[in-house]
Amino acid sequence: MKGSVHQFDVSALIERWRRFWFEEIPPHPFALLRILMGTLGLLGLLGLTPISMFWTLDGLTPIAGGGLGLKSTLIRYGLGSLTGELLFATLFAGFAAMTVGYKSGLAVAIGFMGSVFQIRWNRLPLSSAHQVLTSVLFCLVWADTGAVWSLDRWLERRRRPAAADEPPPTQPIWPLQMIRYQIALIYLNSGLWKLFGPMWREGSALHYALNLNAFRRFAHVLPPQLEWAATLGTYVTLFWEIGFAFMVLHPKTRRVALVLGVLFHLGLFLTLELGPFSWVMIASYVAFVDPYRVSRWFSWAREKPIAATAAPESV
Amino acid sequence: MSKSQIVISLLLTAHLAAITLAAIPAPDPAFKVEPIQHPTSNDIAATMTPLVDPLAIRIKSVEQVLWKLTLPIRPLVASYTNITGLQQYWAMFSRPPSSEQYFRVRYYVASPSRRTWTATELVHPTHRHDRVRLLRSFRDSYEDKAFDIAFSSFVTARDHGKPREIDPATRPEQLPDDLAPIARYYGRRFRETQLLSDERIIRTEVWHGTAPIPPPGEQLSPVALDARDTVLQRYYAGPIEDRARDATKTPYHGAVQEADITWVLEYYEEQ
Repeated sequence: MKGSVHQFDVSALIERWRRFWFEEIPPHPFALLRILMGTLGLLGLLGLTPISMFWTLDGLTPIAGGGLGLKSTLIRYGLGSLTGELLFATLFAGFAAMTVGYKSGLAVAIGFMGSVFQIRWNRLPLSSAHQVLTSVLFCLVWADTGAVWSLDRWLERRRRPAAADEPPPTQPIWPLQMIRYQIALIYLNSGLWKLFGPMWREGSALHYALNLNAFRRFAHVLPPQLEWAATLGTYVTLFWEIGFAFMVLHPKTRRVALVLGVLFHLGLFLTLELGPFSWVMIASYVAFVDPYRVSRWFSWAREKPIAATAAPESV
Repeated sequence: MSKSQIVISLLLTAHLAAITLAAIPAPDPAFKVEPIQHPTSNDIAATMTPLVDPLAIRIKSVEQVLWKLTLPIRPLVASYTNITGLQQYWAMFSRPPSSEQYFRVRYYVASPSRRTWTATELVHPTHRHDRVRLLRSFRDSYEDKAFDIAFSSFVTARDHGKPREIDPATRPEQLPDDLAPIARYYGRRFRETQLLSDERIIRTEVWHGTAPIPPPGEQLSPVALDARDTVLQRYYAGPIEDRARDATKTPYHGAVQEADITWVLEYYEEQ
């Protein structure tokens, strides 16, 4: 009797695990993330122009050491600047193909590998936005991102008209769960770093961040009468970041976490110039939206939405 | 579960464990968490600080225990995150500077027919402080980030995480090369756009500037603001040339004051 109860528990646990990672979902969230990350990748590349500034060896690029790495080898053979230019062109082609969904799987792989190589090539101009983009691309590599809303799909329909009547194939949810975990980890880690910083504990962090001359968007600083807002904002940011990982576990609190997140990142965008960081973070929130709901968005795109069987309740 | 699902499950578990462990930072004496002076001037801060202070100290101690427990597998985790580019360092704005940050580059120019002269240009922030940052500042943010990373790498490599006595006779070859890209890139740009054919740069210096940000609830006096503004406006007009007197060199890590901006010579190269 005892043994059968034990067995039942284990199999229930395995079933929960299976549903959590391998439940079949519509491919639309993956497609939307591909489009958004491709667009933001392109935007990031535009920010990294002119090419002579960040990609060639006589630009703002670290002095190459003598090591045995790929970069050193390329430089030794006189291919340094050419490699930088080729990397830019490859990434541009990869992100453009991702955005339109042409050879989607390959495009995402190129975007990911190029982004990793870019960190090794020249990490100087790269902010957390690049790190988030790379992390999301790593997860997207394992998904079929071109099943809908893509040139691939359109070409498939042209080649095989019968494909137009077929619903897009479903996919296991695990790459999406990986993105959710990664984003939650980013906020938790960032929140804890902040908690360990004295300025966040004494409520002055936002005051100093908003006054930094290298970031602030407007010439005028916050008047002393509004200091309370900066102090309140400091604590709200701190607790929201630490709480994000826990709030996304339940559908109701998840909504609050995401709305606060959008407001927080829009606030950052309006007050500080942080490159594409705010947009990359907001784009990553697509991973937290019910995949069936995402499949109903953009109905004009002529993709058949998939009827929900059991929408995932928790992350 | 199918065989493929079991394999994927194992790989997923390893991946998630690796990125979670990578997110736990190494203990660093420079980032010690200690009780702080509880502010009394601000009601919200006066209420919240005593609450979050002990919480931070407790969580930090748990983090340190986790770090020690996972020490044996750290090299494996580091290899994985390095290869995949999935480093988990998300300390954005955890310790925002309490001063405004500037960089200027000074060039010493020599020619066979004229005395050596200097030119100094402000290179960071890329954007003027008195204008709203719009479309162009998106691109500028990447250039500004390059200064941020280059300088923090330079200071870490030079000081090994501890403030130390810096020898004024330090030679360029004794300095880390993290600020070299800045000296060389702007030096090249200056040479190509400003110098005559017989002129050449014989020395390039990178100066780091700081100016105070008043603490919460306080403001800079209009006089101090005007003085800083005047200094910055001179730089905005283009490289400031000094041809009147023989170029005198500041000893390494020497400081000079312009209004409330303190400039420190952090890096130099001689050609």
